[in-house]
Amino acid sequence: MGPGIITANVDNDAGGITTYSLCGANFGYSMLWSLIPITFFLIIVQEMCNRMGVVTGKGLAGLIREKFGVKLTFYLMLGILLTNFGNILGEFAGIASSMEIFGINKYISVPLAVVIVWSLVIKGTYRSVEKIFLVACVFYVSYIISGFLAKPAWGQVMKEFVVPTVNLQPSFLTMLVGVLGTTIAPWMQFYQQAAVVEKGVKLQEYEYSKWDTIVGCVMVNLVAFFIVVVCGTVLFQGIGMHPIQTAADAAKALKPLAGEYCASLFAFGLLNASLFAASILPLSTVFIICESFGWEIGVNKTFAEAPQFYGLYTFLLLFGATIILLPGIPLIPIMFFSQVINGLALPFVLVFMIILINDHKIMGNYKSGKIHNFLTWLLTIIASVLGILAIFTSLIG
Amino acid sequence: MVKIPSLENRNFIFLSELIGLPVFDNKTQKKIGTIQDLSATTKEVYPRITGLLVQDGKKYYFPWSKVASLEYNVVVVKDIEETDRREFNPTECDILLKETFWDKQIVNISGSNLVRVNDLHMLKENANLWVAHVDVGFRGLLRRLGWEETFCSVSEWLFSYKIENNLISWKFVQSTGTDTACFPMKLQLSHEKLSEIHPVDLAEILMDLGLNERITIFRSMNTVIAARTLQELPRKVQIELLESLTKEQVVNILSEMPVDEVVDLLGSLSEKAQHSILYNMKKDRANEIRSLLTHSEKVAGALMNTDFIAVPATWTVEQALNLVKERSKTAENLYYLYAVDNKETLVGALTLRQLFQNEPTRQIAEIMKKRVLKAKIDTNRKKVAVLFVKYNFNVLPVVDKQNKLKGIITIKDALEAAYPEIKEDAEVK
Repeated sequence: MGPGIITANVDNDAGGITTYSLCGANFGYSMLWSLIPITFFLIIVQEMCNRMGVVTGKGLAGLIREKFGVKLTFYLMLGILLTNFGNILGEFAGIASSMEIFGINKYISVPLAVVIVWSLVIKGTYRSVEKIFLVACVFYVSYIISGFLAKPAWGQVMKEFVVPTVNLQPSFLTMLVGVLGTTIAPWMQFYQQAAVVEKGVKLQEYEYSKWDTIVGCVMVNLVAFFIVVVCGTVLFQGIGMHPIQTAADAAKALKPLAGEYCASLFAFGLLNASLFAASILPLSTVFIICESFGWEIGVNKTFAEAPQFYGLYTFLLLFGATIILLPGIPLIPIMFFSQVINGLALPFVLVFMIILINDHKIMGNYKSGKIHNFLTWLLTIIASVLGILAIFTSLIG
Repeated sequence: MVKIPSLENRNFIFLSELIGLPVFDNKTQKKIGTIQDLSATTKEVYPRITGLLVQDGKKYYFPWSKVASLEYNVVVVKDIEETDRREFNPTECDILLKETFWDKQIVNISGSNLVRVNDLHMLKENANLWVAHVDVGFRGLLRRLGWEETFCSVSEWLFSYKIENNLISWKFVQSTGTDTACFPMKLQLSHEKLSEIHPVDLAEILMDLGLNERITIFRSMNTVIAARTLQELPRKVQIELLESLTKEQVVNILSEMPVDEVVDLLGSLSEKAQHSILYNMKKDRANEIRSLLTHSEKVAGALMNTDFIAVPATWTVEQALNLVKERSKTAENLYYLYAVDNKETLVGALTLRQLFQNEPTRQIAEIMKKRVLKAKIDTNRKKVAVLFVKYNFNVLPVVDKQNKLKGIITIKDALEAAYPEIKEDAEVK
């Protein structure tokens, strides 16, 4: 147990919670059904990188570099760097706004978060850090509790969950892309594969590792389900109304309507998620970039031994935190922009993965089957079409 | 007009400068295709380029002797007959340079680490080309991306900083993909290369590699280095590597490892596997290991090493010194000697220093220390560790119920046993 569950939970980061909150507040329960196919696709994709990690013992970035050469890898990494940096900004924004709900100024909370993240990653070992992360996963329960505290109409929720509603309004489509993009994000594939390799999962243990992935993917969408339900119950005022802008807004808005506990749990969940993701995203970003360019990696090395690793890590963390502390920074466009690159990078990563996992030289007897390939191609096409649609509609809008 | 420099006059050429160049036939003056890869033979210390792979829908292979000239932006080949247009059939000693090295990881012997290859640097002498260096630097990366000139001139103009090539000599490079060295070189070279790296660093390199590469490199090590490196790896990886070898190789490697390490390792295998390995080992060593395997992991008996030096108390110093010399190759510890009587009962201890300081004719019984602190075979390992800390020992003898000397425990073994977490942390992550 470990890599699959952790990866899936980091997926519910500040950006994810914001998207699900907005989804519930603006569209009620009408998008709940989409979580079923998304969970399904997420499992397919994550299982692929899990398998590649176990079979090859190499990271996804390394495999891509070896198969597709330096040029493609370079531009892909540039894209990953940009989108991950956007996500990192989102995490710090999440920390700042959730702590503000508890009355703590962002000039205190953000630097504190940087120190915590830094010491966790640089001073901790993989094992101890993994334990802390698994504990952090448990805290997501706070969303499930707040889901029950909000007292939704369960009959209605279940009906909307099972029966798909399709709406062709541009805002509905954009939100659908947002939900898809935030749930299946490119960094997750790189991170999970790296974690599986780092843990040294063997082929004999593959079944466990597969279940770890499945449980993680179901968990992440269960949490997403409850976030949508909370916001859909309390904040939804009809399609086309936009009662909130961010996840922190949601927590504030919940207070008078659903009670103190529900709101606090919601804010605490956001803080936990942001801090959790802020510990993993910068490290994972630096990890894959160093891996693909063959630079020295390692938290147990000195600065002089691994200058690119530490340099880039420091830059991502400090620069990310500084931007959030600048007065008057437009956070929503930044987060939106990072989601757009997320969506653009995803089809490329998926195509690379499909080619890699069907390469006999790399995978031997563990190549994907026909049905599996068909489903992955289907997802790639859906993701690409939705991505293009979303950009198109937002440009018009 | 700017004169385009011909590659003919250069001593060194990068592989990336040739890949993708158009190839012309000097007779027909027609383009045949573009260079896709170069082949080289690994029969020599530095791989010599033997031919080029040309792609034009189909793939053709021409021996290097057909190359008439290398220009800056074109390669001309000569004497091409229609029958020469055939596919590449590599012999065992031929490798394709781009396919084998570009973007792949190699072991950098001089830096004891893994690096990714950006480019290959080739030496040109008359018509021949040799791979001389491997380019692992930032400049090589820029060259591959096609930004070398722009980026380097900007850097020089802005910061007066010249981005230098970071080249590693071929001598200090070990490929991870395939065992590239071919017969005459194979035996001498790759083994010697890896033996320059400390086993701890080798273990770290193995951990950073992918599964197949890990096995390739491990297989290319000779038994001594393989045994030393294996000791530094986590248990899971040890087993994974041994599984990839033949039974004979496993037995050879395990025979080079200290007995206590082998016991630890075998202890985590199935009984069937233990049996088949022990069956193929030398009789006395196998018996020793079998008896050690019966001890619980938590007691002194499981920590001890049976490769100690024991001398009869009736011997002289000279006899003892000769024995030390004789055993110096295999014994776990040379400094401490133990004196036993004719029933193998422990009666005293002495050090190498004492042997040197006393007359060769003196009897051991006269100079040994008679009160010896020892651990029983069934002493709890935590207590063993306490003894080490309390009395500041380096080595402790282990005896059975009849006070017969059975083995020794070194402080390293005791520390590892008492603090499994420490061992884990100190091991390669």
